[in-house]
Amino acid sequence: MTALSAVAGRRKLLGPWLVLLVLLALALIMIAIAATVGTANIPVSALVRFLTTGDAGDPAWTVLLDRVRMPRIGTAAAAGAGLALAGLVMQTLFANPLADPYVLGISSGASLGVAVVTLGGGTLGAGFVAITGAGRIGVVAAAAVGALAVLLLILLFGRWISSVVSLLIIGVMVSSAVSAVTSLLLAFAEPARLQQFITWGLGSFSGVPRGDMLIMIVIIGGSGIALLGLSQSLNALLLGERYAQTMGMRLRLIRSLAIIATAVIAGTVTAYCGPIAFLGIAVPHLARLVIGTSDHRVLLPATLLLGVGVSVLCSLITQAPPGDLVLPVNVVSALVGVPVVLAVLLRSRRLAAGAV
Amino acid sequence: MSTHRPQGSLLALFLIMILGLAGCGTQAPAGAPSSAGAGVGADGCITGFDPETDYFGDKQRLEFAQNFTISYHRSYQVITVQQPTIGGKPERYVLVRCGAPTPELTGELAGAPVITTPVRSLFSSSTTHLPALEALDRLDVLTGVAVKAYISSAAARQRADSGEVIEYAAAGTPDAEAIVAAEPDVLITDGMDSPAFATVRDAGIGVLAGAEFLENDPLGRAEWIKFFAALTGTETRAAEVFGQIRDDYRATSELVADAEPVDLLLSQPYQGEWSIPGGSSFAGKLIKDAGGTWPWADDPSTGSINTDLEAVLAKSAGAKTWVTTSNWRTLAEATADEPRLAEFAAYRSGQVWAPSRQLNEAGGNNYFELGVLRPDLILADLVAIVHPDRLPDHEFTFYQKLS
Repeated sequence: MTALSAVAGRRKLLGPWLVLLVLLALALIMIAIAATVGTANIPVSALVRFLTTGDAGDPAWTVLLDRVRMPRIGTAAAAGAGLALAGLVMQTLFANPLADPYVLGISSGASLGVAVVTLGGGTLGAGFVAITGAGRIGVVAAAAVGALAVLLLILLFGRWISSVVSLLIIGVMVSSAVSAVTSLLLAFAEPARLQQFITWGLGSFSGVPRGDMLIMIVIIGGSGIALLGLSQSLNALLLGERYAQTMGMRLRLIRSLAIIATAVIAGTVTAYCGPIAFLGIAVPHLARLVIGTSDHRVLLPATLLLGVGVSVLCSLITQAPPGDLVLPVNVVSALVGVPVVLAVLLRSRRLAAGAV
Repeated sequence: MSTHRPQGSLLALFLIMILGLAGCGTQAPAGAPSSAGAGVGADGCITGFDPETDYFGDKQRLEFAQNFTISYHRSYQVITVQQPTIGGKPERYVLVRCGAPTPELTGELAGAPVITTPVRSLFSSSTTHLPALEALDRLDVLTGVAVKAYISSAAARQRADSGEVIEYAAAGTPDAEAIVAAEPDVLITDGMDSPAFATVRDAGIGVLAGAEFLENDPLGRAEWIKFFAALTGTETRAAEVFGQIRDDYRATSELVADAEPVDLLLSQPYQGEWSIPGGSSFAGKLIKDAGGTWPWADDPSTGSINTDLEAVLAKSAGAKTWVTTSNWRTLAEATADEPRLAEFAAYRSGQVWAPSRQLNEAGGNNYFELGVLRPDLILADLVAIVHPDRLPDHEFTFYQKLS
């Protein structure tokens, strides 16, 4: 945090591109530290050997690094980058500093999708065993469909309601309704499945194997590139939708693109890692503070890099307790995320005044 | 806590109902109270009450259970449950022998629920109670269960379908109105509180905590049969049944007492998190008694340790045998859940076991029902897994090797 503040303090001296370089370095340092920390004790020399030759010297260490620790870091980095970008785009799109995929119920939709495939109808529905056997891809698909359905619903309302505050309230309402259906499934679920669903809700970066991590990186990478490409349009949107339209921006297309990319990111992260809390809302604010501008051409990459750094840091902290204990990601991300949002709001007059 | 089964076809249901009704006719006389002594009628009630007489000739003593105690006071018993729910404050229940006046309740007992015993109707919130009632020949007092579909035991199933048993938590939450309308003598919880129970207590129905799952000793959990014996007046039968379970458990444990403990891989991950039994936990005790050990065996925790795939892979990758708590039946199911499980030596050698033998198509599992009363059966399975040479030709009750 102190390093970030220092960067923030000197932002007038450094050009935004230099800040991006510093953020890149910080993200890489965070990844390097995370590679050395885990419940298994692996010496740094073995890690270096693994990174240079692909063999840690001990077959057990090689397996641990190759199949467990590296996928965890990769997953954390991809999830952090994706959620942070999606959060920033949502904040700009809805012109609301509190917007993130979760507030608008996208994660509730994803959760419902996952609840349907992991919990099934419980004692209510016959033949639920068949759909629970959908496997990982089925879970990802269910989460993405749930996320997209909720977001489209929000946008549908958005066509009739011009006030962003009303839209936000509608988002909260839709989110509550969707959560209620999830609760209904929970009420009828078998206790063992219930426990699985609760564990899933606590979030985890360590349940994603290497192959799935690569799929995740590809999906989030694709969506992320799409979002990065929207930087000019998002800048125009900062001045209001009408202004953006007079500038010649194809509002509906841009909106749809941003929303689809956001839903795919949120759905993918939620499916593989559970609903990871607060990264999506906290990191964009942190990025604005560090980069000192709302220009999305630099703000988007800054958010991405900070997302990677903060997410990997959270993943690292989950491994911090002594012994073999591991904390759930959401415990760490919320405990890190809440003070960040509060500090940013208190310290930044611009944000305290309600600007995006 | 509970498991569930698929709904049978109408025809099967009909047959079961006929069998159930027939069964009831023959079961009725079976539950005669065992401790009928001087001044006690055949129904277990006191005839001609004398305040100086001790009406409990047959007093139960608890050897293993820590979470409840029974004290005797001539014409009534007091059951104290130390933790009715996880972290809950002790609760006391006054069990008055029928025919005796209700004692004046003061001090700790003020406001305690008063239950007339032997009870004639009992609501059970957990299928784990049913094997105890079955072993005591008192399934006839069962008049309500939380969810019928969860029952595994054939006899309990038959009783549940007899038309004399209502289902009071079909939607997952207990229905206070249904419970109060049915006026059972007593409702036994599953060790969790429910807002509905406050209403039930208000209506004067005794809500007793069935918190056997908070016992850390397998025999302690089984000893909760004596809790049901105190309610149903079947103390002699409970002593016989529990004595046999205890002796069988000890005899099985003796088989491996001199054996070198075998290193095991335990339980399985979910989302990369891996919950491992603590050294003093229920599951840990069973593993130790079966001549097994695991890297966390010396951890004093009575619960489980929440760690991750990385820690377990670092410490148990070489273990030759794997005892899961999953519902898996095949090795492919295991790697479908988590592909990295193939990195474990036990997986590659195929020595992977799961308590899924009595699992039905809907996911119901008798391991969680009968296993509470019969830790001797679980232990015998585990010994046969950990030290196959000590129990050759063992017939597995709950566990099976994944194919």
